[in-house]
Amino acid sequence: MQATILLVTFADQPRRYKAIFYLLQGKQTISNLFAGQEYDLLNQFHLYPNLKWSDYQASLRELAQAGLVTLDSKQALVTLTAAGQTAREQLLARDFWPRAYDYWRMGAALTQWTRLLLAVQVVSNLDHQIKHYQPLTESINVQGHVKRWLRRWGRQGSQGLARELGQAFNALPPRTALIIANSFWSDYDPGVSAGSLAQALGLTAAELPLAQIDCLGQLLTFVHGHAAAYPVLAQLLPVPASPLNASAGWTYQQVLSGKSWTKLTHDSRLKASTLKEHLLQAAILCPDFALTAPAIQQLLTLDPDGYFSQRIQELTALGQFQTTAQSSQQGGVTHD
Amino acid sequence: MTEIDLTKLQTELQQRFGFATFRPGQAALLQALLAGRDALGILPTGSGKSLLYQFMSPHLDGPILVVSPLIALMADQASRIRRQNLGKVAVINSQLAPDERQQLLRQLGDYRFIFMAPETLQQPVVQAQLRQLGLGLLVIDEAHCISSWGPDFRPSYLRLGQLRQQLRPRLTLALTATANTRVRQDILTNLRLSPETFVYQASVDRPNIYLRLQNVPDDQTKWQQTQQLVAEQVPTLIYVATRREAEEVALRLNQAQPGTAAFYHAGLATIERNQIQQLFLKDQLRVVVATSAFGMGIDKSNLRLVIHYQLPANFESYLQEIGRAGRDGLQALAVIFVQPNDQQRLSQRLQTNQLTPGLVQRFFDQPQDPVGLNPGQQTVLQAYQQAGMPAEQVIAILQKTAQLRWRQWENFWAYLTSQSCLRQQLCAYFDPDPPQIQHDELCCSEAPAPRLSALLQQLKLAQVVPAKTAPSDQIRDPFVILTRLF
Ligand SMILES: [Zn+2]
Repeated sequence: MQATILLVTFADQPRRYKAIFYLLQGKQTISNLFAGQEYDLLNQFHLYPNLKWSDYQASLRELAQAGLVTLDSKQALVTLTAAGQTAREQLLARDFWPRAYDYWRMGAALTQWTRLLLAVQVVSNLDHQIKHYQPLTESINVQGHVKRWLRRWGRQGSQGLARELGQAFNALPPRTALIIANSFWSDYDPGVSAGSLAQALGLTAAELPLAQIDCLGQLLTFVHGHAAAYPVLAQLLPVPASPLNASAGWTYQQVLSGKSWTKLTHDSRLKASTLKEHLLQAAILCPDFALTAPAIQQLLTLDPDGYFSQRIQELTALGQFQTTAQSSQQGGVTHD
Repeated sequence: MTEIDLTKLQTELQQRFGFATFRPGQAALLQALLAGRDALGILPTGSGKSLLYQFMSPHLDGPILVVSPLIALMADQASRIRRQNLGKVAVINSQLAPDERQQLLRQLGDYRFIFMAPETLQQPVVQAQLRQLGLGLLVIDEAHCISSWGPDFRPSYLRLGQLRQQLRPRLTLALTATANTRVRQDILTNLRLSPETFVYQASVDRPNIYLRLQNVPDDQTKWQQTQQLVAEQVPTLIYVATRREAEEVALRLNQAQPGTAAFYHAGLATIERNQIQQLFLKDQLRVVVATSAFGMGIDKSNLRLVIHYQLPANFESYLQEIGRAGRDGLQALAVIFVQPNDQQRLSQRLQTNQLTPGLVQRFFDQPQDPVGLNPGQQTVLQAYQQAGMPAEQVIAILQKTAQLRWRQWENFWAYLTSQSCLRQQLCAYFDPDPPQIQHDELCCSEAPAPRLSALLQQLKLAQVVPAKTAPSDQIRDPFVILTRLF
């Protein structure tokens, strides 16, 4: 990994570097999510799913040796030095950090990116009667997804893909369109190598994939903001209905339906601590969390100094519920 | 058993693969397999080893399992089978998600070709599945990895002999590009192959590859001469030692002439790797700068020039790596740069990787707390331990291999500093019965004579096969791309 990229995730105030490692890797625990909230890195959750602890540590040491960060290994804290802050600003100015991508709204970036690129390869090969070729990914899940997508849309889908991409490129910023289009390749048109693209953009080989994720985020926001006009792309790149997993989603639904905490614990087979964890996930991840729902209020009153109440207070202090203080029970997730 | 008719085989080769004749060794190995004999093929890189099992496919009752040590290699071989539409291919490696892997394993019976790393094969679930399928042919690729006497010893290969007996394939084919007598014996013994096993060993000599030693005083000269070589404008593969160097060299080449070069190493995603193969195959990229493990996956028959920008790990790697050049049988050139401080650098590398008896003993006493071992060394020791070997035996083996590594290194260094025919030395080192080489002006040379420019003028690489298209590895307008793709 390119060590300097980590600078973007650090600040002039001490941060817990283990929490940042787990955030980038995508380990979903309440304390990691809290750190993500606190450090404004929640969207970058799961950015490096294959990150190894040994590589991460080596990068930290490299940054410390270069005088860009100071490390407190006893408390596992990292802080940017003045030089580190300057370096961070310079990095951000190169415009590759994936601000536009949000893991919770869009799912795993690599999966979405691979779906898009594979669909382009398959359709381009199909258009040029190339029948036997190596799909650009070995992932059976992505292959299966693209196969089903193509079967559903047939010939219309392959034409639709080209048309919708053209329309989207017109609507998106030119640099975004440039990066996405120049990442495409098929067995008919091999495109441009990642190294050349990075060089043309003034980015390093390690920064380019992040710039691509940023562009993908912009594309996804645009497509799903105009889903009716972009049915082919919207179905090729579906986004999760809720940031919560199935069981946390169920728990939160119960709360939204107006169930009391007493009734909820009675109805569910899960431990109370697990249910609370689900609700904390919802509090962090759902933009209009139902703070006023009966079950939540009951929990807060029942044990005002307990773990749950404290975490909610912390979130309040971070400004999490500002815009939604009056939020009614209609908010939150929809499962349609 | 009756001798399988050669003309019949040739007709099949023509019909199924479009080749008029077999490469040396292919026919003999196929005849042995078709007659029901296990076989070991020691064939130089680029001699069509994968054709052997592709050819066998319709002649077998069960599927073909190919055990291969490198993910990139597996993916490339699988890709070729898919492009040629020879049958369904499954590649099971560590890059698959757990659910994808399970799905593949459940449906293993649907596949004709199954590629697997030796580590995957160690898993009981996988073994049970394969036993049920009844393998038609077990292929052990890069079989020299099984020998601790070989330079690429992989501990995960140690158990393949036992696994082979459990899986009971109808036929076994072991393949390697490099094997001296000792390694050859190790392959036969460790795979528990019978004395009736057919062995074919080809000479390592490749007359169409001109061998050149390029002594340079410093990095600057080396870079200048690399540019001189790249200016030949022919398909070129440059080997470097690290990922960082691969990126740097590619970057510098592109600064001189945009769109010329791409780097190729383990840090690349599968998508990008496949794309670079495409660009290179279609002559839209002239130079690939690769680390050694990844260069093995490059399959381009009209490679005219292979450059060792840095020394390979050993003699065996060198042989394999230059073998990528001129697979079409036409004139090619292999240049290796040698710098004065290389000797010290490489012996230092050997020294740091050496496992002392103390370290080994400590590992066996406290395997949970591996102090002073790098990850590679840990893997080696774990494999020995899992194979049930006591510490004393492991220490003895490792001491022997360490000595051997030094001797191998000395031999390689002697080659790199020699004044006599390089081709003759290569054959003397690798061939059991080395042929007498007739050195001529298309054979080999050591810098300074003839001068590099004179040599290039003499070989006229650019005229061997004129490039079909100019490189076009440059970014384009998004709408131009869309019209081109669809
Ligand atoms: Zn010679």
